[in-house]
Amino acid sequence: MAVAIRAEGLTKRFFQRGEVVAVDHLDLEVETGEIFGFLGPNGAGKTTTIKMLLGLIFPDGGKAEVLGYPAGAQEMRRLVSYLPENPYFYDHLTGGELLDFYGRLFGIPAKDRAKRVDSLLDLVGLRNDKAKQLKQYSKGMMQRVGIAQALINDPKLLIFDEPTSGLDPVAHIEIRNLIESLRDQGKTVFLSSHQLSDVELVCDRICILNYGKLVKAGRVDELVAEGRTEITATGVPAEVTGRLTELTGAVKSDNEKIVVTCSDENLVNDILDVIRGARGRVISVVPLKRSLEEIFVETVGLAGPHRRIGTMNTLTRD
Amino acid sequence: MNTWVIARNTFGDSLRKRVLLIFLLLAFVMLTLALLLNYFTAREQSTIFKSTQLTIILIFGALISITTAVYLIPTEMERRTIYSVLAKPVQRWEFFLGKFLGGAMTVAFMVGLMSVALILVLFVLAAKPQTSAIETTAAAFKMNEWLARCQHEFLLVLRAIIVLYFQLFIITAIATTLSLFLAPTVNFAVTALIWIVGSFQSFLGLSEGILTRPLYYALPHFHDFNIMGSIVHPFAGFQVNHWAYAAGVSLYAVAYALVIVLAGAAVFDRREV
Repeated sequence: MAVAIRAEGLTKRFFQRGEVVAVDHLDLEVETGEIFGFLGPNGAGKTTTIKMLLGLIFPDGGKAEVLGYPAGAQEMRRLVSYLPENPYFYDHLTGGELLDFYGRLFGIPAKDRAKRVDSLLDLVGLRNDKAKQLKQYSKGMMQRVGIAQALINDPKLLIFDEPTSGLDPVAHIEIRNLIESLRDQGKTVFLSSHQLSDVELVCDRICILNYGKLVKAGRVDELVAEGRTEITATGVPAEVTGRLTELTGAVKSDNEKIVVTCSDENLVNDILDVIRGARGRVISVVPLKRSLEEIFVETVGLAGPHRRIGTMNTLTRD
Repeated sequence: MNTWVIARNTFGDSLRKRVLLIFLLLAFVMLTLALLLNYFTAREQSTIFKSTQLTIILIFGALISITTAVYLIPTEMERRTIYSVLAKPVQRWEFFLGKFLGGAMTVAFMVGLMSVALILVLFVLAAKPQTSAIETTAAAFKMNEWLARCQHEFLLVLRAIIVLYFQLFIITAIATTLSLFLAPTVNFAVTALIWIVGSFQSFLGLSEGILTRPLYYALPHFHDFNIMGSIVHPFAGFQVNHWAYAAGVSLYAVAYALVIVLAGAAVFDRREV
């Protein structure tokens, strides 16, 4: 599969009361057509990385390519869109004027631009607020118009920094569905978010950044899978329960019901055969999963000095 | 193309700045107050009025241009609106030039409004009999004479305003470029100082000292933009082609501003945002 984003040894240092390495030799590959979750605690270097990919700031080391172009190249920016975290737009403009402004920057002809503006405002549910000035928009509306501006050029790659921030639950789901539909259209989505439940639901792969370093990466389904399966059954005779305990070593009995936890995938069918052979009834077979939140906490830890609530944050690296 | 899109947007954004509207309002108040100089004859009143009003427009124009320009880039950074623009296929120089031109358009619009007020009042004054203090005989109003006087006044003021505006054009360029290095308040003070020193170069004798001569050449020659004498006393017999002179200083202003803005664009090209 083609690569949408490739970073090799990407490094960025800032000098604020001493040197701070915001991004530290980051190696990254995002494939085209996938939704890639870019995770990390505050100050991990996510926004800094995004800014380097877009050419807003320049790396001190390493290199990055986006859609085959050097990061920040003008040709690249034609094919990419960006929704910043807590987006701020020119609030003297109306929603329609804002999209028109960005459309002009892409050189979209006036006729196509007008159609595109209307269809995007429809898509994000702001058609009726087209003529309203942005200063009258709520935070959620601002986020929606931000998503609309990110789609104005029909991009191949979308870089979203906290796209669901400030949205109500319904809008939240709508945006999540929109992100999935973008993937269905063959677009690549690079999603930086703290909404781990969203990331788990929509992302194909993720990586976790901590102190500027890549600490974990992989497919979401592989990361969350525990490799254990829980089988629940009823009507299993006591002697069979003993056999199952010998097989797995983990059987819990609760009145009529037994719960067998199996950590070897190859044994699952054998266990089911044993239960069925004893005329027991299988109620459920559930592969056990961990949540992405658990994986995230396990990876970055809970007690980083810059994450303690109520202490001075000296590492403002994002 | 992108430069023009950004310039137009900057113009729209700048016009909504309250501080500029306050300056404009103050300028209008002072323009109106000058009308109270009613105890002079029409010709004297017209002369005093023009010199006062052009000075008011210059001072408030300078305040507006500096105030606009010192915030053009810093506000974009502070509000983070710059991210979504520079993430689009916009060259850094297009953005910088667009911001500057938007600022220059704002100044042009504000100066234009003040000039319209000035010209309208001059038309009213031109309707009065053009007598001096010792010729107090009342004369009948003649439409043809009035129209001729209006046309004459209009061309004089137009020339003055063009020259005055190009002076502000340089100020806008300097403040926009300095905003890449200086905080808005410091930038305001530094640009104002450059304007004042540039306006009084001859008086300060900068061209005479060996050490100050480089400064004389480096600073914009704002004193060359002072054509007040030929405007206020149009019949005093200045031996120059006034329009050619106005065109000359305007071209100088465009060239000077271009150099300053290109230098700013070069710096901005490698500036992290």
